[in-house]
Amino acid sequence: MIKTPAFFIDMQICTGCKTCMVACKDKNDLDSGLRWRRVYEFSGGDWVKADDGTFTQDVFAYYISMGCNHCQDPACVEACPSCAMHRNESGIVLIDSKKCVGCRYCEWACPYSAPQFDYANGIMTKCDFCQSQIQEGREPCCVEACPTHALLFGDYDELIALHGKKAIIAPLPPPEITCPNLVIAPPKQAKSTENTNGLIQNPEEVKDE
Amino acid sequence: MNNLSLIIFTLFIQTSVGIFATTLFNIWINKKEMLDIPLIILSTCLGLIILGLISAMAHLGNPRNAPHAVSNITHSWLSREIVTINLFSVSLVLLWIVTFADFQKGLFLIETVSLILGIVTILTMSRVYRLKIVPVWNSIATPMDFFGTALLTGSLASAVLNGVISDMVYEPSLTLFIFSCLGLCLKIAAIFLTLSLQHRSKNLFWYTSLRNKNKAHLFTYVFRAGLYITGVALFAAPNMGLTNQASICLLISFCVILIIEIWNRFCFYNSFARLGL
Repeated sequence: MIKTPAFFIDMQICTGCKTCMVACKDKNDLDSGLRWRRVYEFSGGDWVKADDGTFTQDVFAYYISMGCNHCQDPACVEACPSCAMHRNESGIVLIDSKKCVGCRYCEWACPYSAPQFDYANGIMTKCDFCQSQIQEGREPCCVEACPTHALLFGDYDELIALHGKKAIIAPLPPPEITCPNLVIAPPKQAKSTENTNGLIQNPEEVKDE
Repeated sequence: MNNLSLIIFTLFIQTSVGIFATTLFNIWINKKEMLDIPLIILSTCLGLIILGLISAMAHLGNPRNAPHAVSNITHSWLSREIVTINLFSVSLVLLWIVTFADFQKGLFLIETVSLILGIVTILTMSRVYRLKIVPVWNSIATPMDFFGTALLTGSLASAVLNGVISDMVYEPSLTLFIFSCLGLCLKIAAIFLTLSLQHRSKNLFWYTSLRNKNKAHLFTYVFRAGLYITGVALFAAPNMGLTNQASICLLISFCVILIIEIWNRFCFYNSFARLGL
């Protein structure tokens, strides 16, 4: 069993095909509004004036696939009033539907939009790392489905040793908020979190507004 | 997100605490010999709490699991909020019984404990919204706003209830007027602090919709502050001897403040914009 399960996203080879998103919805039989995994299209750019008076563009665009990062300091677990949201012994953040009151406070607290409200049943739902598949020795369905192997699954420390602890990029929140079990290989054109001219271009696909 | 139920819940609970606290101080300051709060005021406070809690239940997706909502008191401010509201209501019920039985012994102690629990209730309520990833809410403006509501709406509602008790004739009260002015100061300070926070944080959000939400519209803030001042000015007129129509001024003032409080709370929930995805 993996000590600290984590996702690795190689954004240099992610094509933004959204197969991970579809595989997750299919495997977990999610309603149309529920998106345990989402693919964000982040782009922006501007004209930059050089010293000689000429202009060049710095347009950028990249994708980021995001589910629950099963954080080491999960804001959702701290916020949940009923202890429905909890971390199990494997470090996986899960919801006990028998305790969930459907207050949606975890939804407010999570900076990754991982907890998703199931309107039909009045409770929160989220990625469970495909526990049943992991127990069978398989990988989570989003990882299995990724055609380019941009999305990988493994032990957090091993992934860090393999890929290094890369700087967190826009549009992700500062990692110190929840200490996510997430390792990223950023694309060449990645922008820092201080960047202000980028925008998520597909809000209707990823956000329940 | 169903904000209406949260608006009703927060407003009712804060008004209940406000009515209780301002009435209590009014009695302590002006009627040192009679310490008991009129039963009609205690009943109103309890009624508002019950309505607030019913509204909070309507917000829950799965109210059948509500008893579990106090399980995480060691970490969750929402659990703490539920516990303190319930403790405050229990203390009010106890006070109601003691007042009804005309039992003077221990009255001051129960009143003091209830007052402390009321203050703690508003503190925990404000702490629920001070999320690290919501910059506009995670500031001193949130407790200022909530305490402002308690003092302003509470003092006006207390004045209305005093009028009802005195055969629909409101006797101007300087203590309640001072509390309403304190509440007004807190509300206005909170409004402009929120404006500043919204302006400063508008570039932190990666969604176009959230960026738009955080474009601070100065006019709406000034208009809201202006309405608050109008409401308190109407309450001030009879207290400063400017008019004989004290009851009418008080009723209009109360209605203006109530409407602006609902609008202000709606704006508060609408300003929710979270860092990250």
